[in-house]
Amino acid sequence: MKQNGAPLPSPLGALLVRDLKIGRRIGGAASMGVLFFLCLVAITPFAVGPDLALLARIGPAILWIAALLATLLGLDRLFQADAEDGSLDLFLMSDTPLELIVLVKCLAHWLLTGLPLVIASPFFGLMLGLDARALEGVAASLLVGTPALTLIGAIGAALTVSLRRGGLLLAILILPLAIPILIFGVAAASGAMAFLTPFLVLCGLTLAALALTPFAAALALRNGAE
Amino acid sequence: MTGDPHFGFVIAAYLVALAVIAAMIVATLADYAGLKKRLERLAARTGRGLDAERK
Amino acid sequence: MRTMPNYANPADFLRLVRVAVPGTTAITAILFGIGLYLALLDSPPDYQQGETVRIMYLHVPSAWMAMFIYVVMSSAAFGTLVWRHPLADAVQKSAAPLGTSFTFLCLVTGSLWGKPEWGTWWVWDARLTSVFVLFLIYLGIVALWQVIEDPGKAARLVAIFTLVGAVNIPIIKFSVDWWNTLHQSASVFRMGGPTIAMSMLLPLIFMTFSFTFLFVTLHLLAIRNEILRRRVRRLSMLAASAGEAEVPVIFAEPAE
Repeated sequence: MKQNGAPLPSPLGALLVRDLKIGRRIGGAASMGVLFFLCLVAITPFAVGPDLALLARIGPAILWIAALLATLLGLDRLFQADAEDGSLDLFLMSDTPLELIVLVKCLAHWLLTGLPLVIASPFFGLMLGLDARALEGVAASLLVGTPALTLIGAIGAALTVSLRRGGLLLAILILPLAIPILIFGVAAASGAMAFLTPFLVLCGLTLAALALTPFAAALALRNGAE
Repeated sequence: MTGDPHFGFVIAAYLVALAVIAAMIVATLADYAGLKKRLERLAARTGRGLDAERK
Repeated sequence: MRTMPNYANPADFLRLVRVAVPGTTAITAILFGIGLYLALLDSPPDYQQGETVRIMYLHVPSAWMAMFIYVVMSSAAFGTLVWRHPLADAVQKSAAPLGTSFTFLCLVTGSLWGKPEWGTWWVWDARLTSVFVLFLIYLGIVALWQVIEDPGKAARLVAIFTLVGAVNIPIIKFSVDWWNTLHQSASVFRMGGPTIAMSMLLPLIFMTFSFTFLFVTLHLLAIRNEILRRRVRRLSMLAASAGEAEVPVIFAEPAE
């Protein structure tokens, strides 16, 4: 994203570019998310058996749980790396509102882990024997739902930023809060009933998360970093 | 009253409630006793009595 | 410690505990006496559920406490974040294990009630599932308290999470209700309702008040414990900075 053409103010644009660059490097978790997603999808048939009819029925649920776990996987590093190298202190002192910084970091994280999951999901869905309509449903619901997972996870990441092993605690804190997203995401994906109702509720949840979580996460960062 | 086939479940429920409530009470009181002891020991060693802290 | 100077007179609170606890203990005991008599001996068995209806007199009050204590914690969390009041920290921290216990009790009694009524220990009924999620959130709060060493920081971070949870709980409840109707099971659960008989309502009310007063009593005592814990921590640090032979004590006793 070139700065002059970017709609974002330049510090945020620079942060986005920096986070994307870090994420794409070897140490970043970008490609790990998709690989983890693939592994989770791959081991499920070994657990429930190779029956394609059964797999097709529970396929959307498997993809959603895999997406949930894969999103959580990289989240504990969302602010921790910045806290370690001191960037977080700069964020806290900078004139740019911390809420916007949180939002940009979430955007970068989603572009690196959430979006690849959305793109990969139809192909993995084929492995589970989903039909075309279910594939569309899974991809659409993941596209709308994974940003909410990243955003809610960001609160957990901000709360556990000062802990050396925050990964498991992050999951413990965030998974109960992610239940509504999971419920409506899977309902929209599996298309058991009308697709539109759960899909619209899912959109609403994502928008609510977009509006509220930056404030909670920024508050947690301010209090946790002291 | 005891003729009900599910009477055991009622007994079990009340026993569990008793256990949980007793555990809460014992934990709170034991915590208090432990803290009190540590506070007294600290106060004796530092020479800062409990009253000094209470200001 | 920055929080030390604005410590809102803990001595006053300790005095309140000393005065109030004997009274609330007595009220709790009397209420439990009446409540248990009504619940176990005086009230008739339900014409459909038989004796198992008596589990309701534990289950419903526990469920009420599970929610009530969360409200108490959220209010205290607000006090922690807005006024940075250390007493609010203590109120928050001491309520969490109590809330967890009552939620656990609610789940266990629900399970013991479900086995004879539904023929299974657990049903993914909307109400049970919501309480279960609440239990998970409580466990998360307790875990978060345990991992952060500095008490003031822990209080503020837990407060944020508690309030995030408070916003989420109605959403979770709504989602679970929706999810349950989507997967309509053959549950015939028709507890309560407007047709509840007076003979069942009365023990329910008494048991609910017993549980509430039990919580108030235990909560007051637990807040006192938190105040003392902070005092112990402060004295340990004081002793350590004074260079006395307190170091082994500090290492032996985690300052949390």
